[in-house]
Amino acid sequence: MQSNDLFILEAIDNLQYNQQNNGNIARGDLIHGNVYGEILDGLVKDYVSNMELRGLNYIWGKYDKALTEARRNNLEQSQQLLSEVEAIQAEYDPNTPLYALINVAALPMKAYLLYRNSAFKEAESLLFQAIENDIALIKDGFYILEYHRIQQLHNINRLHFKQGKLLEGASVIHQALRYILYEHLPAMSSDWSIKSLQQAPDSLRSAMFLQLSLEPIGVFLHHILQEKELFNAAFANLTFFEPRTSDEAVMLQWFEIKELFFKAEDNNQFLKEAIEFISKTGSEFDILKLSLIANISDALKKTSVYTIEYHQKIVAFSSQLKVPDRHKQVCLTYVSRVLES
Amino acid sequence: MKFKLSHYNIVTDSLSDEQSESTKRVLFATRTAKSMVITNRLYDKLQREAWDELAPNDFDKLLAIEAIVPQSEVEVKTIIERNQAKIKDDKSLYQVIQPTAMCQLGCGYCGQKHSKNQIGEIASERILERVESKFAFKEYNHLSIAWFGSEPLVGLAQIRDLTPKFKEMAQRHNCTYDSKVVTNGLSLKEHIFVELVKKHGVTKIEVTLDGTAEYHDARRHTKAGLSTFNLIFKNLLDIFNRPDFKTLGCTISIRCNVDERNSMSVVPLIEFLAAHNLQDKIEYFYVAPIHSWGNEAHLLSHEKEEFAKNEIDWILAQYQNGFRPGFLPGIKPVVCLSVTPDSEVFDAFGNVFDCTETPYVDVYANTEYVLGNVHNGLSTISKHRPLLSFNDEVANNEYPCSTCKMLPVCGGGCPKSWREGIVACPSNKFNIKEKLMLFYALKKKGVEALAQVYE
Ligand code: SF4
Ligand code: SF4
Repeated sequence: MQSNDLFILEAIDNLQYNQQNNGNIARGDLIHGNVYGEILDGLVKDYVSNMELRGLNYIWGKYDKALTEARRNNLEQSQQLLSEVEAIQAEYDPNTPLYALINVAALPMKAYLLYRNSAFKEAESLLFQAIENDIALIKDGFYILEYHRIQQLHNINRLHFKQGKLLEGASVIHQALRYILYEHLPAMSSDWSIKSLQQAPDSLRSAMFLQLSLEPIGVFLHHILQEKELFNAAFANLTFFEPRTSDEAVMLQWFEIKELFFKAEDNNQFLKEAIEFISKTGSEFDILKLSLIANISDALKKTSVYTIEYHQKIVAFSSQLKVPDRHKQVCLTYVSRVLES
Repeated sequence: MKFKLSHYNIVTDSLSDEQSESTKRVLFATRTAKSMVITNRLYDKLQREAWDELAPNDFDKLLAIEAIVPQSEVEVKTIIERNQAKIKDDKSLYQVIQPTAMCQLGCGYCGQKHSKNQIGEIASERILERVESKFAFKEYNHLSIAWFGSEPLVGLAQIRDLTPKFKEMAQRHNCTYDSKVVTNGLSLKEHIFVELVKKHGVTKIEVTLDGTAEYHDARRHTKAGLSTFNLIFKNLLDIFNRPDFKTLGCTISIRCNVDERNSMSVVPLIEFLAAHNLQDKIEYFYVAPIHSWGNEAHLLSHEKEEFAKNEIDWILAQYQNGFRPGFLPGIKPVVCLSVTPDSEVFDAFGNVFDCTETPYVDVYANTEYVLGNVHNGLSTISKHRPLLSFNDEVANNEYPCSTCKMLPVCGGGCPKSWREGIVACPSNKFNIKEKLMLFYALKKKGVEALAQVYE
């Protein structure tokens, strides 16, 4: 046993699950979260008359209900609500900003229903329309919709993933993240507004950053043999930004540890940092930990201190993580394979 | 965008409120089955559709409960289309099986013709095959079997035989499974109850008691004329008094069928049940008017309005005796199994129906209500379900339901009854305003208010 490997045993022995959850991470899409919604509502109130606002809120609410039903897999009821609200929208003049504001909710919702019905091409086309639809509104002062446009990039990514086009999906995530973190304009669509991006509060940028990152990490767990390629497609070179929130700092640290693993130059350094990360980080980042655990099992196998006992300790730790079962299972299956190999 | 007051609002008369100067009303938006207490001033604005005079908060609430709707909407069309969408989305496969044509009782109002026939081995296999075939057309996540009669517990052997096969079918299709039993209660011995719950996935049981012993026994006696109340009630007490009753996961409801011969016995029955401390053990207690079995039984039924009036007294009696029944209807997008394309009813002879009230009833034999018989081959079972078009017919103004404000919470009562020219409206139609007033009293003053009203 090499003495410089011993710290690993100690670290694994002391591994403790950090239950703490700061609760900053939005469940579901950020676009339905409070910061975004409140800012948008405020902007709308200044823009339309009271009576128009009633109609707009009604229609948005109805599209939202249709979305909820689609998410519950009640596709007929979703379609029914959609037909009801489309009939109302048809009464509006399509050449007005009010119509475009209605479409802010309408287009992504319709795209989602198409996606649930496996009409991917049509769904993608509507998502691009949604990105374009926001341009004029942003020019009119609805700066917050820049994040709505980024949300549509995420939705396009989901479409790709659903069709098994993993690299294409990862590349969309990469464009969105580089835009958020480095203000590099996405190649997809046009008229991206850095000024609007900057106008939103840091908390929104941070939440969007996390939403865009955490979901693909869960997906990549199911393609672990391709992980390096997928990681690079989605997250390469994302270690050069200045974190503005504690969540961003955690993400930065995770990107750095992952890069260390894929570089495969210093196994022990990777293990040291990864084990520290998984024992110190709060439970809202459990998916990041699960992703590292798969890598830890590979790295551990390469050390002189590898024993089944320590391997099993890692597995026991994983079982405590608050992540969807399907992710946990696929990761633990991989870890067991490493153990048997 | 323009708005209008929904047609589907029920509003009470003015209610006085000692604590505040303004008089109030309760508005019940049947489209969502949500209620809202409104001032008379607000009511007046609603009547005038003076939307710009409404406070944003009031407007938003009324819009959310669909008391206010878009002006261009054809509401009845929306309601029917929503009902149809709900039926299409339903991922629970519901089937009714009548394992035997036998019942020990000889209730005077029953229109069924009982015989000793049970579902045989071949019919069982075919019924299973028939149910299995439905999984090819839709992705379900739940299989639910209702064991109906005649008296289903006389067919316990069939329940024992079929349940594991249904459970296995459900599992194979990644579905959960449960079942319910509608029984006269005579054979519902404690050990049978435990077996039904633990082995046969029964989660709901409904037992009928038509009043206290004197009244019940006068109508729900055995075929030989023997009394049944005490036997049934002993069974129920044995079950309710099990220390683990609540944790077993099966609820028991009591139904009381009434006509003018026994309606005076409903309150004494409530008091009797309360005297045995069954308030929090009975899932719910409800009174049902005798319905038509294709015979004349419903003619003896109370006039609907009279029944509705009595029902309010029975609700109050329940409150006074410690029961806490809900009394406002919820939305009812699926009126019954007859309007769904996949639910079927199988009787002990292998006949297939689309309505629970047609098996074993002579007047329905050889009518279109018999969709076929599993013994003749599954392909011979008619694809035409006579009551399936009911919702479309309502949309086409063929029944009073088309203009009725209660449609969203009623669904149309009973399709078969309307077809037979019998008014199918439930009591809610006639006493909804009184129920809303009870709701207001309950909301303002708590349960004591209802118990006091009764006194
Ligand atoms: S049609 Fe009427 S009697 Fe038949 S199942 Fe429906 S509600 Fe019951
Ligand atoms: S059955 Fe009666 S109460 Fe029900 S919707 Fe039809 S008319 Fe209205």
